[in-house]
Amino acid sequence: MNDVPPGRPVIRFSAADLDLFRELSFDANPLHASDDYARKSPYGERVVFGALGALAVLGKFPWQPGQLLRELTADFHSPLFVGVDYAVEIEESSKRTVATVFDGRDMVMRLVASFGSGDARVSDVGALTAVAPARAKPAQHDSESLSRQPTAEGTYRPQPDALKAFVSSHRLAERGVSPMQAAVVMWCSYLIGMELPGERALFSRLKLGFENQTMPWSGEAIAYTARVSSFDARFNLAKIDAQLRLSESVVAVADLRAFVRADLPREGGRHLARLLPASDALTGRVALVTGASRGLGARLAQGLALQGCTVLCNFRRGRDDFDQMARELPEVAERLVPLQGDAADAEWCMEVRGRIASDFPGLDLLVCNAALSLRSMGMHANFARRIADYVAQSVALVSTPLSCWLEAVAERGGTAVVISSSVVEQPVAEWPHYVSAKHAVEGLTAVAALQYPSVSFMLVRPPRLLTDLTNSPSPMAREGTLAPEVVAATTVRSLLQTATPGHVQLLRSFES
Amino acid sequence: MEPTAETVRDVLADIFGLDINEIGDDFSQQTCRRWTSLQHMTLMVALEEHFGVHLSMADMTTMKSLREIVSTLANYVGAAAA
Repeated sequence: MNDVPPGRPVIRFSAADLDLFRELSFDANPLHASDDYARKSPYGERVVFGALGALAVLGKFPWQPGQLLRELTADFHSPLFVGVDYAVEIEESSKRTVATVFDGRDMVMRLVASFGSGDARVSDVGALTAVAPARAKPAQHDSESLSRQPTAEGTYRPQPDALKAFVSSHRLAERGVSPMQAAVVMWCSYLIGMELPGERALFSRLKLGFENQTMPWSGEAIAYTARVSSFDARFNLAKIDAQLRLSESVVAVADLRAFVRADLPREGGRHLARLLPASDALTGRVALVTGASRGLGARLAQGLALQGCTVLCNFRRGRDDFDQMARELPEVAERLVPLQGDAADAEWCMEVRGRIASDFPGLDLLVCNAALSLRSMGMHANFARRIADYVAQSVALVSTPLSCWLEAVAERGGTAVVISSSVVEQPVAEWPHYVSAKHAVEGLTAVAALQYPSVSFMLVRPPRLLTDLTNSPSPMAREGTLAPEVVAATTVRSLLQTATPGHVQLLRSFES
Repeated sequence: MEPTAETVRDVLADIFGLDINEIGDDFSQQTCRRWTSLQHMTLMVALEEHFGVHLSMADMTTMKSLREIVSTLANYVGAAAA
């Protein structure tokens, strides 16, 4: 269900739309193109290309024969995702057309376009092949390299027949957008996602001015030069100026902006080892940690292994991350046992229980850490299904392991740890789904303590952590976040102290 | 340009896609759902460009309401004029 008002145009994207746009634009940035990559980002899934969103919105503009796009500004406020209905509100004036794109009541994109007399009809762009630009893999610019104001130049031409089909399917020519102009918008996507800044880019603003539009375009390659005009380290914001030419005539000038996502420190295991010296306090014990390949889960697994514990490290898809985590602390690598599977799948969990019974002495510690990525949601109709789904999936990631494995923990008089969050004490307005999910798992823990009185329970309420799932490009958003190693070290130290069966211990203070 | 409630309202309206009339005296990050952490950065960039100032990180973290923005910007513009 959505609350798009009747009569208001809607744009919606499928995974196939993203694949097609990737082929057409040559923008293979993994945030848009790779499920595995996007899953590890704060967005949790592939993000729709901003330029594709802009072109789709232009396809909702009023028909205007005899008009041609002169200027276009697109501000990308929030990422767009597959399978969501986005409402487009269009306001026309004599000078410009403004389109605002909403997810429910949240503004996600804003376009301002002005037009002049001209012919945008699809011309014969010829039986030409695509001219792929230089990069097939995105550049790896970071704040240091961007500060040196790098440049890029080359030639660009989407596959003409595919471009023509794209322009026709969105009826762009009827809205005053020519195939060449659509190609320029696609090039912006390519430049930001592949060249400047490249892989870590988050497209923020596109501003195009079109010139010499009376020139016929027979599909020849567009030459481009681009330069990072400034990089502001306070915002991780790169500003890029560019010029596009056909036969030496400038056809478009571009003013582009992109935020750059910072890399997180990768030496978390060593940091943890400094905070939590090794011991043999848990030698002979067996733990199972869900969501153990990255972030807090990885640090908890490493922390338990540092104390001599054998740790079954559950992860759903992150085998590479698990291997990396095991390599970080070679002295405990043999105690980290990979356990790939879906912790919300009861059938799989029961299979694991059988393996524990046959291959290990038992299960002394269960750490329910697996969680979904976290994006903002509003409490209005467009988000109702997404909020409910998020809560259901988050609860399943705790209720299933508790339901399937607590009996094994009870047999050993062990401990179950459930990772909650400080949001249960201080709710965050943008996270109704997350706050609800964490309240729910705390409720489950309280009831589990009643049903399994021989098990000790611990609820951990960390504040906002700096992990892949929360790594905003905003330095301000990262301020005040806590390193997962600190929470892991505090949690493991608490586990080494005396536990009280049938009770729930609350851990909400973390010190390095 | 002098930072007044009116001139700052213009920037806020443009960034958040709102009508000027929707930005009351109590307008803040608490009252505006569109004012996310990412949008906060976009707003700070726009304020710097609009008023020709260079904000410190410490000030940017406090500029989370119309009132706070106007008073903080006044310090910068006042310092530049002094």
